[in-house]
Amino acid sequence: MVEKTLFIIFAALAIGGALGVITRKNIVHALILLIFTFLNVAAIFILTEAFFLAVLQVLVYAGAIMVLFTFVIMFLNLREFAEMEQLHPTQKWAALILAPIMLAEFVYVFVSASFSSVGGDWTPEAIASAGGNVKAMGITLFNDMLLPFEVAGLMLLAAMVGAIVLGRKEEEECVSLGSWDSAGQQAERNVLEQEV
Amino acid sequence: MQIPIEWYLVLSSFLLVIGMAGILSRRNLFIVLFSIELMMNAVNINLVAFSRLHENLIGQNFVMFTLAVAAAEAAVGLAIVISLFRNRKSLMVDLFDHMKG
Amino acid sequence: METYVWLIPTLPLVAFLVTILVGRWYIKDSAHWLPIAAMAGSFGLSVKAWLDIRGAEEPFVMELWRWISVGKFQVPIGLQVDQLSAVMLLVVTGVGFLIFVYSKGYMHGDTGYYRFYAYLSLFAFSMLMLVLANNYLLLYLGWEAVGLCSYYLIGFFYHKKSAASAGKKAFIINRVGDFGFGLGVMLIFVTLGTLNYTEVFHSVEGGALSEGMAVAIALLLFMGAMGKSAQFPLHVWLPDAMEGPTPVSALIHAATMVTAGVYMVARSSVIFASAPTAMLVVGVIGAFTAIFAASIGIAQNDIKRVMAYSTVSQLGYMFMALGVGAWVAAIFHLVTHAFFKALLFLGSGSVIHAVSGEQDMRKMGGLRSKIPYTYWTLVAAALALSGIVPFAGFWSKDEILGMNFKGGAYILWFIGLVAAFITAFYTFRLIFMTFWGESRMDPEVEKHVHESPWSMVVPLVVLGVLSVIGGFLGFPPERGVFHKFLEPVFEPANRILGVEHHAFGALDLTLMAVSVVVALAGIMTAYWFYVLRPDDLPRRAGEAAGPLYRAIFNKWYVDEIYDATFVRLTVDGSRWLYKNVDLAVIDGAVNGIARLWDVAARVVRPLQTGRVQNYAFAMLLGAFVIITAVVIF
Repeated sequence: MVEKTLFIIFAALAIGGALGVITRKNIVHALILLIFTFLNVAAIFILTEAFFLAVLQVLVYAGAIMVLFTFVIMFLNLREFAEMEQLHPTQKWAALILAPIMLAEFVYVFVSASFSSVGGDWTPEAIASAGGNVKAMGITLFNDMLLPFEVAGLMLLAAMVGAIVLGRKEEEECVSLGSWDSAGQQAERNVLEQEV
Repeated sequence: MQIPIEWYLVLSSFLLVIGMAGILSRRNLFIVLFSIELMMNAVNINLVAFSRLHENLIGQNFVMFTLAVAAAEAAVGLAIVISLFRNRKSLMVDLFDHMKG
Repeated sequence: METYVWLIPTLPLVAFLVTILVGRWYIKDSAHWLPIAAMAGSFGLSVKAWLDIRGAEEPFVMELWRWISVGKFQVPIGLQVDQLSAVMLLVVTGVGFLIFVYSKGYMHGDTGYYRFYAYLSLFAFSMLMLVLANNYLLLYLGWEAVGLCSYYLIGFFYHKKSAASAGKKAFIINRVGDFGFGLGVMLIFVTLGTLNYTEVFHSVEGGALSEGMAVAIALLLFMGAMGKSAQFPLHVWLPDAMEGPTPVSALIHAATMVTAGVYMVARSSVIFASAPTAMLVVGVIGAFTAIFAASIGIAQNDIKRVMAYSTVSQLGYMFMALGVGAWVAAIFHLVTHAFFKALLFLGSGSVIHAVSGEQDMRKMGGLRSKIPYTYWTLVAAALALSGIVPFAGFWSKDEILGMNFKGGAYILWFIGLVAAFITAFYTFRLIFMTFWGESRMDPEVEKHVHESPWSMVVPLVVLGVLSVIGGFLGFPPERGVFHKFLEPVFEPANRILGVEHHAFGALDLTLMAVSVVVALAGIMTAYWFYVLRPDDLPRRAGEAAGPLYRAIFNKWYVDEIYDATFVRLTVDGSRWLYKNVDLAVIDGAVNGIARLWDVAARVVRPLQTGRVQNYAFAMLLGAFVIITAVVIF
């Protein structure tokens, strides 16, 4: 009973926060509301006894990703854009029409379908006997999902490199790939300078 | 299992649809990115709910990876935003129609 | 005979090939040697052939090789020599040889000298094949080939638009006639199963054709003859054909090609004899053409045009003869006409040569003393044409008129007589205007008047002699050497017609006298008009006749009628079709398809806005549709 009440509260807050995100004119307001939504989602995770994930959500999502967003917003200094019209004139109707329809469809499907448990190994008793959610997560992660774990690490490396490269300021001169004679270099240089 | 699974799914679909509406209707690039994060959260909720239903931890592990991906995506996406801002001096998405026609 | 007869057409063919292929670089101004030698050779061989075929009852047939062999349709390249083809061979090669010699002087210095001789040789080959053919398809081949050479030679001065147009006109009008001719040949094959002369004529003699079918075939064949021999209403090409050089007019449009129609009808005498209605049509059209063309000839001022209409008129006489079954008379007139008409043309060419290219008779006069050879030979030809005894034309023309009268065609006889009067009139009008009276020449031209070179004068003299004595081949009338020679050829036809020979009697003498009197009257009238000239009589007569004069001056407006109907119809019809079908429909359809794609693309292009949000919307919409589909089904 208590759980259900808590769930409804957190769900409502999350939905409210989400609505706020997409409707706020001020980006920083939207940012804060998004963090708020994430915190509520973390609370929902706790209600599902996914304790590790809840903490991860707060630490990574709200703590790292959102901070990153904050840094970039502050860095780019977008104050003037708040005055501009933020909603797309025609497209908003598409959203307004499609969204409720999709929502209705999803809700219909989810409510009318019956879900039965497949029956896995990690029943709550098993989790408890393993030493808690975190320990159980660790066991599955490093036993069953070692490869995806390593790949995820590589992916993060690639993302890091990509972010650095993309965020770099453009060079004045590029190395020309054509001929190395002085005339060719000169011509290429002129072209490049024009472009830049 | 006191909370029926349908509740989680409905919540997830709400968040999904809200995120979708955000992507489609807002002109500010940041808000679009926020909406994408919202949608990913919705998916996470979905995964966790099913993980609880099936008494399996695979769902929760998957969420971890989704989280990692979201982080990577946010990093690269923001780098792109910075580059875009430097070149176009604007972040209104409907102004980026260079590939028109 | 087998050993040499095939050489007769081959020699000119070789001359043609050599001249046309290497003429421009190697032969140039001596391009005449080979063709003249070839024609001399062919003439010699024709004489030998004539000597060999005398008195033969059956024609000599020789197959050279198989041309078409498709099941029942067997057509060889085959030669047939009988008395009729021997006569034609002599005319073609003999007169042809003289004209080839004449051309050496006349065409001297022309830039297309070698081309001229090449085409002449090709023509000689084609005409000889036409005459020597032993089946209708080979005849048709020669027929078309001479038409082609006529086109080449009429349009010889191709820089002149009028010459090029005249060549086209000749070819197109000929095609109209050949359409009928082709149908006739096909009909022969369909009904008789063969195109070979001997087989066809034997079948027809044996009654294989119903009268209706015979009439149909005969009329269709005659249609071809109308085109080739310039009978009304397909005569319009011949006067315009005078755009070609004078030797061409002499050879092709007087002596040989235009007589191909007469030859063809005479060759098909058996078919025509089985179709009396067709013979009547032939005779009527011949007579009408004779007087029609003669009337136009009175008012023409171009010396060659007068001769052209005269040719049309005389061809009409030949068909008049064929119409009453006087086959030999027709061929006889063909031969004498070849002599004096070729002479008239060559002489006109000599006159034109003397007056530096002037062809309008109103700008000539008083040339009698200056170019005597030309003058006297032309007078001989004029007397022959007018039918004055004892010149050649008299015997043949009188025989035609006599056969018409005795055959019961009194109206045709009378028309022929009137035409003879007119013929004499315009012929001597030409003589008097050109040679007698005061000189109306340009002073510059008058200074350069000179007699033509020997290469031109000698053929004139030869033809002149032939015009004088040639008629005696047909003397006594209907029983002369000529007639006896040709008798075996026309025997089957005469049998069908049931012709009897009567003795030469008082009727014949009376008719002869009438013809001579009429001709003399024509000459006297011309003398009165153009030499005595009381009060400028020609002009007064022309004004008095008013519309009638205008009509004959304008060739009875036949060309204008054709232009207003067929030509306008075709040209305007084509233009209409071009605008409304080709441009509007076909081009429209093709362009329309292209435009369709363009429009479709233009409609669809706005979907590519370049904005990510729109694309995202499209994707989500698509996902939604798929989900819905899955949910529903």
